[in-house]
Amino acid sequence: MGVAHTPGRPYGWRARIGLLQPGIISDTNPFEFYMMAPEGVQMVLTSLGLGGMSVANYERALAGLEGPVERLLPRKPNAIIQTGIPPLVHAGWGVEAELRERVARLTPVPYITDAAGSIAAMKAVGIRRVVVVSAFEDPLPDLIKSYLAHAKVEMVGHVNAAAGSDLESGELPLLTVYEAARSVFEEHAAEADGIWITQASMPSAGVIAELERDLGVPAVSSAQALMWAGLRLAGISDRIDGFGRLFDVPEFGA
Amino acid sequence: MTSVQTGPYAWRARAGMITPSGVHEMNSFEFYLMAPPGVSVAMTSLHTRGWGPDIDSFVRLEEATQEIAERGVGSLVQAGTPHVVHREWPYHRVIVERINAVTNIPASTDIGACMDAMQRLGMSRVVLLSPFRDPDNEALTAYVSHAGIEVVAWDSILDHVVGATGNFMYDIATLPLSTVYAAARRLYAANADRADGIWITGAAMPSVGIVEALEGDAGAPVVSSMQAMAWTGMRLAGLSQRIEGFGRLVREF
Repeated sequence: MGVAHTPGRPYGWRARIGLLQPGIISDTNPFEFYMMAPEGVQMVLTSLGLGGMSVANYERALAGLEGPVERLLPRKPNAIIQTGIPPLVHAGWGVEAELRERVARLTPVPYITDAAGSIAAMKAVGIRRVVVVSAFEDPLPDLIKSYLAHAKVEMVGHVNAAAGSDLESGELPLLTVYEAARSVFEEHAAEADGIWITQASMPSAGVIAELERDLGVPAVSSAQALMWAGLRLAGISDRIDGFGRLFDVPEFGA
Repeated sequence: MTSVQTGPYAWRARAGMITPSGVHEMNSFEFYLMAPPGVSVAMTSLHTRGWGPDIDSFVRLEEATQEIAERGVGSLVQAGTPHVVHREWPYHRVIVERINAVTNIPASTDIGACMDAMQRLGMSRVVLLSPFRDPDNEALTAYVSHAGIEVVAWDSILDHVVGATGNFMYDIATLPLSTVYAAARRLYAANADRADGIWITGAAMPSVGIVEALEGDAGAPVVSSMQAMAWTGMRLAGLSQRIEGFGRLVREF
């Protein structure tokens, strides 16, 4: 892990990143956050209270967004990032603008969602035709494809990395994620110019550099993109080695 | 030559933690400060609001236990000392019994881990540094006395917070480590003739980063809540590796 502290200072002396995650259990999100976080950056995490993957639960979680945001604000985060693609793509294009407006009524702290952060990251590294890796089942891949199309990113292929496995997405071996990403990219290599590993509960940050090295294209993941967006929105422009070319991009451009 | 990690992140051990608050901040940072490669922590929350003699913080204990057990954790630790010590001794054992009624995953508590740690380090007369007020420190003192541990003096970090915003959790979580170190060192020095160790509880307050330096400079063993919880969580999950840099507890036991 990259976690380090600076003697004499608070742990989060450079930035405190608020992290909203869908479910109540925090597992992969903090692990990957602290894999990537530079010294002096601390995470403040709370849950949207998503009870399970159903449309009613997605709608309830987004409808109650103000509650979790208000739990974070007394901790004075410098930026707020929100993981979770399914509630966004079920709500459809435009929902993120609405969520940003609602959060802006509560606080001037920069706020960004998983889809917006990932799309900004893909554009920052030049991805326009992407293969998507997730552990999502139908109809989510089609909804993701439609959502990305609004942002002028074409999804040319998708693979469910957890297909055939009875493991929770967070327990998947990195090799499983790597092989799924590699196989779907190679299948669509003629048309794809990059990889997006979404679903931040699934390990991804640990294979990004290897995928970029072995396949010669940029790779973005939800966890990595939100880390990058959160840091940049909090004014931290560090280049972080080992987690892909995205961290070579010093500024966030939505 | 190097090896590439291809398994799950928690390829050696996954500890589970049930925290009082629905906002996680210090626990994961300090856990990962200490954790060796291949070890992770999964957390859920009791969603409590405050603590005290008249507040039952454990209404959601069984539900939270079930949630976290489903993540395949190898151990479970309930975080939060004041939530327990306002109850009758040995309420920490009641907590473990209630967890074990839901799952057979090895379980412990913050206060239980602290007492175990202090006993292993031979601490029986300690100074206590916390972010709590007198009624909580009195309850902590009374509670650990049942385990043969005498709190000879206590201090609240709240009296040392400079520029406090009045927001308890923020003020505590953003304390410079030097403030915690100085308060603990001063408290021990003032009582060195009758104390044999330093106990820092209140895991919302940073502590793990100063344990090693404090032990070296004060010349006494130090136990902190987060250090003791990470230690017991990793040990109960089957990880016996000795860990350097965070005090005698994790280096020797």
